[in-house]
Amino acid sequence: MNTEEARARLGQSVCDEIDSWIAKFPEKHSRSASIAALRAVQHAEGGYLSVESMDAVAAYLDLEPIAIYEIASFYSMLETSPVGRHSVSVCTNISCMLCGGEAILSHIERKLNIKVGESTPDGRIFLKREEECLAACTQAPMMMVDHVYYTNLTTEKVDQILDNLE
Amino acid sequence: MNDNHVKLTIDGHLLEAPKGETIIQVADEAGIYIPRFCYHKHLPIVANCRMCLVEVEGVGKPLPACSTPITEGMSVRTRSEHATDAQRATMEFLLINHPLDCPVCDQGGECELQDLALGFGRGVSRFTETKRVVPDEQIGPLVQTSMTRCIYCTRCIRVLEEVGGRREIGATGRGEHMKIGTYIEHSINSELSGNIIDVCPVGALNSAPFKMQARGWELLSHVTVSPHDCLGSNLYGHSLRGKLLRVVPRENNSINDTWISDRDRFSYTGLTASDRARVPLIRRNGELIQVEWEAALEYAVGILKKAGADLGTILSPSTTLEEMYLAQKLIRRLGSNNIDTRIRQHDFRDDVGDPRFPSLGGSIREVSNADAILIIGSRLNKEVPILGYQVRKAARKGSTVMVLNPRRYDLVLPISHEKIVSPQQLVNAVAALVRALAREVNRSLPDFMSQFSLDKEYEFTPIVKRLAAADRAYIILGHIAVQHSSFADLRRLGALLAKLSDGRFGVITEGSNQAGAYLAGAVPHRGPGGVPVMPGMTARNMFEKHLPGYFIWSIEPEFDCWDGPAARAALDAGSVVAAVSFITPAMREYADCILPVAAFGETSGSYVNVAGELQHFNAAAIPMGESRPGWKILRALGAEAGLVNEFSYARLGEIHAELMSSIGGTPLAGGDMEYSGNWEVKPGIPDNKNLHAFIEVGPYAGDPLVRRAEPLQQTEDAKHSGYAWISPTDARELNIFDNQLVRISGSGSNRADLVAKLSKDVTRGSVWIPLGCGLPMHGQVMLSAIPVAAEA
Ligand code: SF4
Ligand code: FES
Ligand code: FES
Repeated sequence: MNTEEARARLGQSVCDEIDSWIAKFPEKHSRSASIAALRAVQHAEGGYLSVESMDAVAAYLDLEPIAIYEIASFYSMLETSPVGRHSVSVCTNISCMLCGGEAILSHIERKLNIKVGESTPDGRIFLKREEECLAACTQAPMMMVDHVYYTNLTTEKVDQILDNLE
Repeated sequence: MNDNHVKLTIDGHLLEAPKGETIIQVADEAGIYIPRFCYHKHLPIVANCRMCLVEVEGVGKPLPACSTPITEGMSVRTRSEHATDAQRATMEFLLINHPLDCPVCDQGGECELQDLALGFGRGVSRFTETKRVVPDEQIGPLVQTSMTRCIYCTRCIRVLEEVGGRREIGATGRGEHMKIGTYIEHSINSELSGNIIDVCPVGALNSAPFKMQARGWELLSHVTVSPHDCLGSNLYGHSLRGKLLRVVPRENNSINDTWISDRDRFSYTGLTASDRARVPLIRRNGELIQVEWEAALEYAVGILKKAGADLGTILSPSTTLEEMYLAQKLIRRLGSNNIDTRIRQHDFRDDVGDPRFPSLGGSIREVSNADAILIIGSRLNKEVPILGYQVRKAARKGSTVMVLNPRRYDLVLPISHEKIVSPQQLVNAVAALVRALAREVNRSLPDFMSQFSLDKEYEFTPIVKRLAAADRAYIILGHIAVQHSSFADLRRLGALLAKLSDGRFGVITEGSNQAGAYLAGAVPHRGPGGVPVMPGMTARNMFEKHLPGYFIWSIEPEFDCWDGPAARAALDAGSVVAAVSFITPAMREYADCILPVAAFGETSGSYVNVAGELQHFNAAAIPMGESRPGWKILRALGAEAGLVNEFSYARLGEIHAELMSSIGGTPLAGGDMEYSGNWEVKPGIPDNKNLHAFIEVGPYAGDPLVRRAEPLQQTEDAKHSGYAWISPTDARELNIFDNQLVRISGSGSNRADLVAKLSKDVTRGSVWIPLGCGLPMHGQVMLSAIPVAAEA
């Protein structure tokens, strides 16, 4: 893929956003814009990064595709396969674990009939991999839904939150 | 004390070393061993394995020796309790997930992890949980993966990036889920990919052809040198009971550092091909029949003597120096001076102006230190992979790399300026570049420059500016230039470019001993020592003329000569003695006598590389069947021809000494590219509306041995060479589609049926075809689609 093909694949608005990030770094360091670029593409393309879209980002930033695959597979906020619309992650690190985080997680698994890492068949909810401590220990147990923290959880509270998701 | 040096102690030894070095470098230099996995002296430092932790006085925690720079007065302890505790802990962590499969692992016995586990590991593991398992990836026919064994040192990633020039693999995932690989499964395409096998400290990456063949400690190691390109990479041949089972690099920091090409590493797999010549054969009543050596030698000498002055001798340019010397001595004594090794060269107009021997015009180090490099007519990385690596090194140090090629190739180099012109225009384009450069530096041009056409304008400003400004410019002519119908002009122009930029000029010759051929007297215009003699016929003339007798040595003319079909016709007409290691079907038809010659690894000898370095090597294996080392065959032919006294050598060393007395001592002087000759400029290939075919010598097609190396033939590179590559514009006009079967017809009955591939990298008016397809290296052709119905 060359830059032009990449531009066509990514679309003008995504390219504009990537350009604005490239401009923030010194010349020839467009690599630094990788994460921002991937986030923009993920947002524009239904919540995940296809191989083709990662290749386009690599071509656009003049990097080897593997450099982009490494980043995309490393960061937990970047998804490399199709997932549900709403991302739910439950903390099971030490404070949450002591306060029943694991019970909350199994409750959700039972309720949605999916395992951690899976999405509901209707594409509504993605139960993301177990999160490590999200620094909300004082209000454990907690979970994060679409980047918003929900704390001092009970199963009732969880049901209510999940049922309200579109 | 030198200002740039600091004093420190390591384990009580007072040492002095240049500022900026790291502890491990100083310790290695002093012979103090510090364990390591990720550190490799020729790779960038990443310090991710933590095996090299040492104690530095005054610092509370252990420090990684590989990445800690030395400072004045530093006191390092590598074996203190503090240090060894840290090393042991690292070892324990590394072994947590490492499988205990050493008995079935090919790395066993030469595994860095095994060695260090012995030195630093615990006898019993405290880890009782299950170990992780990592699925393997198919990364091509050369490298076998067992990724569960990986310890994430990332050496493989760095080798491909630094040496191969491209990040083809990486570490994806995180933490426990991290994995080394390509992510999207595909083969690794670097021509230097095999080096990941050597650097991998464990058995995660192993040689696929060597899989389960032998244990490292059973093998005998022999010094050898690459027979495939003009650099002469240093190798070890590993053999078991007389069979060559593996080839690995031998460090030589003036040629190949610690790296070798895949071609050098895996070509040995061709040695056991089913068409190996194993016994002497002669033709009787039209049939080739097996005979004793005595009878074959007598028969061969009969043919050679009968042809006498009209004998044509054509040797592979990878023949050893000693064999070349004996061959020319023999045939010159028999009255012929038609001998040549320049099998894929077509333009010999400038033989009179040849330097003592063709060369790079400098050392390999000088190439990697050049500050501007212009590559003309070369697919450098595939022609001479290690030279590609040296240019890459230069680029990393800031050199500007520029290319002027008749077809766009991905050289895996950071190219600053690239100019692609059609092969038909190549000569005039280089001439235009010479003119522009002369204008820029304000110098006058020699008279012959007026003979080049001024028809076309070329834009060369960035290249001209860079060459003019460079302190150490280097102009390199590659194989495509050597094979060009106007090579003499290209060479003269290249040398002129170097002169105008006060730089150096070199030619990448084919084979591993082309320079040696000049010094041994195995070219028609040179005698032993490279002294000019009354010229005989060139390889080209010999085939054009149809001589009564031919003596061919380790070549397969249908593949290896500039005009394969013409060579075939000449050989069909004359009597032929073929001294070869493999027998092609064509050879069974034209050869009257086949003498089986020991192949690569089975004979001792020496080569002179393109930088004028003389290198010796030893046999690593026993010649197969009844084949014999070439020099012994030539010695016997000499005796059979009645030259008993002149061919009475007891040892190879005597032949070498006799030749060296005419060459003079080493280092070999010569190779400067000043031309004294004066010859007509030739239009070369007409730049008209007609279609011209050009043969691409694929990286794994160039000599009989690589053509038989199965694993190399399965690579993407080998497959890529098998098509007819044509520009999309030409294809449209000719109504040709991608993947369509086409017929390419040249002059006479020459033709080839090939699958067409469309590529924008090919210029208009040219089609690039594979070696051995039945057409000469260059020629005007007609191209037409073969109707599907006619295919059957
Ligand atoms: S495969 Fe070998 S070289 Fe590559 S990271 Fe793993 S252990 Fe290191
Ligand atoms: S342990 Fe769950 S937020 Fe800290
Ligand atoms: S060798 Fe120093 S950290 Fe790996």
